[in-house]
Amino acid sequence: MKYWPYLVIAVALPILLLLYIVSLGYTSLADAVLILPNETEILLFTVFAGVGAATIGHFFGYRRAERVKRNDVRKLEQKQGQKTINVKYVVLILAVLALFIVPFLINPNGEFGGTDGQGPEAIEGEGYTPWVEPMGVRPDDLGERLLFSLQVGIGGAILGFFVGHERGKVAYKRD
Amino acid sequence: MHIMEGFLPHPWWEIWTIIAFPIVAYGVYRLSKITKEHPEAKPLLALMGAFIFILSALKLPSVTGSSSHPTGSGLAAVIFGPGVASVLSVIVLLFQALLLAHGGLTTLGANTLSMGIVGPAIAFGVWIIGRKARLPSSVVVFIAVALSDLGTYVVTSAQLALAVPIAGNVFDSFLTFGAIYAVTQIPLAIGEGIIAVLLFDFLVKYKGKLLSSMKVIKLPVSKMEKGVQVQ
Repeated sequence: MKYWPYLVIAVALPILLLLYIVSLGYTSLADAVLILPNETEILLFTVFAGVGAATIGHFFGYRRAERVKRNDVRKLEQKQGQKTINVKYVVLILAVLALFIVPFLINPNGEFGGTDGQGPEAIEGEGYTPWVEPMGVRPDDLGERLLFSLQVGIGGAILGFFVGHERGKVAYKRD
Repeated sequence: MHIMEGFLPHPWWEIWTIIAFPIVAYGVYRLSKITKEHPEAKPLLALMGAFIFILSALKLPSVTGSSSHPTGSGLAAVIFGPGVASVLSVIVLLFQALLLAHGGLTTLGANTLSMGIVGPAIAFGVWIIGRKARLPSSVVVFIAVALSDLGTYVVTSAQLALAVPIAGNVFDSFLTFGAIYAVTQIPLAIGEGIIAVLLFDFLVKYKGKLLSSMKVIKLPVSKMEKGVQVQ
């Protein structure tokens, strides 16, 4: 298997993440340079976690498929042939990206407050007070970001492993 | 969904919990049955759980200038049925209620009903009808998942309107909450639909035989003989 795409991501992603955390001002190294709305900050954290976990998962999934085949098959042979890119999927992926990037462009100073917060605000505005406080862990700002990232990370690792494993199984075929 | 802890007063949180409980129990039964009949489907089950984990933690922006979560439970319902989707949703909702103070234990029943039961039921219904009408599976998955995502938030609006009618009567409150939740959700629902189509097509390509043995999709005979993939 090719290792270099994983290496590139493995080096680039932590550096980007570190820069991101520093520029948000969570460390004592520098003051906050990057001021983002709360929800956008969380989104970027979770995207970092998701991409990272999915890459690691994909790596191990692919390698596992390869290992299993190595015991199974006398000769390993990478499937030859031109890789075809299906236009349909390119269009769909671009559409998804556009759907979630365009809001930032047409609303550059938007707060993007979560509807999960706006609903309760509307209710509290009418004089309602919640009758019970949240019982579990109540994380602070950075804790909340890390826990959301953990959630996406768990999901991303499983997804990446599954996809890598399936792709690895097909890339190495039996003679 | 994600009605915060304490925002559903006395009769309502009990009502939603009582309604949701037997359905989740049925889901657990379905889950054990599926893993017994198709042990090879367990990775797929983990994948569906992972999909819900990822999507329900992403706070995605919407063109309305606010942000919200997709649900992810629609695709699980298409593949495993709404019962299993409800179990997976409860796991995710518990994680968020206990660790993130996002959602809550008293509102777990209501949130499960919207995200884990009504949403997946819509997805499953659309899927069944779409397959009967012989529409292409990508199109059906897209519509099913998008409507399930949107439906989840319509249910949330209704639940809040019933419990705390802030605009005087229930219907006006429903419209108020609908304006907050459902309108923001429209672009997200479209996005989730597209992501679901991408994953579903991947599964058809790589796990076609399994999906066909679970009677999710029908493979043409020629493909069955060859096997969809080189295994």
